[in-house]
Amino acid sequence: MANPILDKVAIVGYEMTDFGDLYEMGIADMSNMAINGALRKAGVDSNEVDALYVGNAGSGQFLGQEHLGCLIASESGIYTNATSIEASGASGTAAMRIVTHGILSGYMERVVVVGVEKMTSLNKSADTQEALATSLDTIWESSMGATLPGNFALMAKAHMREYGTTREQMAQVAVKNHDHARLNPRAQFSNKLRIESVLNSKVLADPINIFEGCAASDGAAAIVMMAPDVAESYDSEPVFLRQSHQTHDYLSLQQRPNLHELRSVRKGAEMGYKKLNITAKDISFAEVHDVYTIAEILAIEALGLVAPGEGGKATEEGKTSLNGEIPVNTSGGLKARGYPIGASGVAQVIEIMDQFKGNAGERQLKDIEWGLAQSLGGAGGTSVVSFFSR
Amino acid sequence: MIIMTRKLVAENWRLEKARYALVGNFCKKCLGYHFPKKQLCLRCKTSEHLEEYKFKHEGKLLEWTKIYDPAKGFDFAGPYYYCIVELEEGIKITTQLKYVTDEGRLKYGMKVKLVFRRLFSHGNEGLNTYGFKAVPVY
Ligand SMILES: [Zn+2]
Repeated sequence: MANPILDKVAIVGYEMTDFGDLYEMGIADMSNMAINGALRKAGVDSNEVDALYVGNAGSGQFLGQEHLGCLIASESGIYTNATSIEASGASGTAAMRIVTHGILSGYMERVVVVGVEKMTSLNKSADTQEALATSLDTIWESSMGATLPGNFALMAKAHMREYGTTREQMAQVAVKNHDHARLNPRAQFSNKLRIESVLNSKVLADPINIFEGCAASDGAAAIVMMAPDVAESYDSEPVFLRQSHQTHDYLSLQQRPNLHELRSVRKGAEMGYKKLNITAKDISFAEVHDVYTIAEILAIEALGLVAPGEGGKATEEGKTSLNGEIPVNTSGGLKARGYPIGASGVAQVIEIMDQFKGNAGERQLKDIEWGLAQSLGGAGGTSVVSFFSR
Repeated sequence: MIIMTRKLVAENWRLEKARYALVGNFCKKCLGYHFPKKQLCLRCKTSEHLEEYKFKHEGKLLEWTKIYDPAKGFDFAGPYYYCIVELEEGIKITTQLKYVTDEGRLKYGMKVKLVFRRLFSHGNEGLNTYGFKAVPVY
C-alpha cells in the first residue's frame, strides 16, 4: 500500500474550454487548448510531461474516432505515452484516479489528465440518445427499449415510491443549478430556469422531462497532477487529491437489489471517509453528477450529505444552494455548466480548484476545508468519488 | 452509423433461445438461477452443475415508466411502457409492458405474464427481432 504520508497527489495547473456547441473546434483542437492552457498555468514545459491520460466516453460513437490517446498527444505537441480511459460518464475522474497510481508508485512525476467529448456533430437527438444508451447493457436493456432517461425514470419512480419525493423537488435541482451557472462565465447555460418551465417541458420518460437532463455539449478540461514534493517548486499552496475511490454496482438495473439508492456511490464515499478519518459533515462543498435531476438527489443521499430520502426536501429548502449548509454544484453542474461526457469529471475538479484557489468569482465560497467530486458511469454502474483539500 | 449489438444479425441469432423461450440456467449445487444463461455459475465458478432452465412466463411488475422519447428503432408504436419484472423464480428482467389500457390500475407488485412480440426491426427491409414483453394481469 502507498505510504500514508505521501498518499496524496497535487493538482497544479488547470484549464478548460467553454462548454457548449463548439462548432469551430474538433476533439483534438479542444484538447490542445485545455492541455496547453493547464501546462502554461502550471509552468510545466510539455517535454517534462511523463504521461498524458485522456478521459473520453464515446468518440467512437460520436465521431467514429478511436485511438484517442495518440491523436490528442499528436495534436497537442505532447511526445510521451498517451492512453485513453473509458468509463462512460466517469471517464474523466477514472483517468485522474489511474494517474494517482503512477504518481504514488514513484513511476511518474508530472502527468496531464484531459477529459474531452465532442457530441454536437451528430445532428439528430435520436442518434445522441442511441450513443448514450451504449453505456447501458445493450442486449438486455437497450435492445428491450431502454434509454438513459428511461433508466433514471425507473430510479426516480422508486425514490418517489420509497420516500415520497415530488416532481417539484426534482425540478428544483435544475432551477438551482441554473442559478449557479449564471455566476459561472464558462457555463453552457446562463438563463434563469423557472420551475414551471421544467415541469411543463417535454416528457422524455415519465417522470423525467427534457429540462431535467443535459443537452449535447462539446468541451475539454485538463489538470496537471504532480507528486507532492515535485509540486512544491511550482505552487507554494497546492491543492491535493487526498482520496479517490472507484466502485461499481451491476451494470443493468434489473440486477440491483433496489433502485432508490446509488449503492456504488455510497460504497465509495464510505471508503473515503474512513480512510481520511472524516465524516460527511466535514465536507464543505460538492460537485455531483446531476445527469438528470434525480441523480443529484440520489448522489447527495449516497454521499451522506443528507439523510436517505431527504435529498428532495433538502434541495427544496435551499440546503444545497450556494448559500446553503452544503453547496452542491456551484459550477452549475452537468445540467447547466454542461455535460460533454468525458470532460465533465475533470470539469468538476476544476470547479473545486477554482473554489480552493479563490478564483470562483461571484460564486466563491468562504472557509472551505474539504471539497468532494462524484461522477457516475451510465445509470450508476460505475462511480468515482474523490476528496480534495489544501 | 452507430454500431449497437442489437443491429448485428449474428448477435440476435445467438440470443434467440433466451428471447424466444426465456432459456437461462439453473445451478444444482448452489440452487441459483441465471438469466441470461451463463457459461459458468457466477457463484460456483464452474459449468459442472449447470443445466438449462426455461423460466415460467409469469412474474410481478416492479418499477415502470412510460417512454415518450423512444430509443431509435423503437418508435414504430408511439410511446411505450418500459419496466422491470421479477419472475416467479426471483430473477429480474427488463422489458416492455404492453396492453396497458388504464395506467391508474398499474401497481407495484401486481401480476404480469410474458408474451411473445416483435422487439424491433433492422431498418425498413431488414429482419424483425422477436422476444418477450409483459402484459398486466388485472
Ligand atoms: Zn452455482
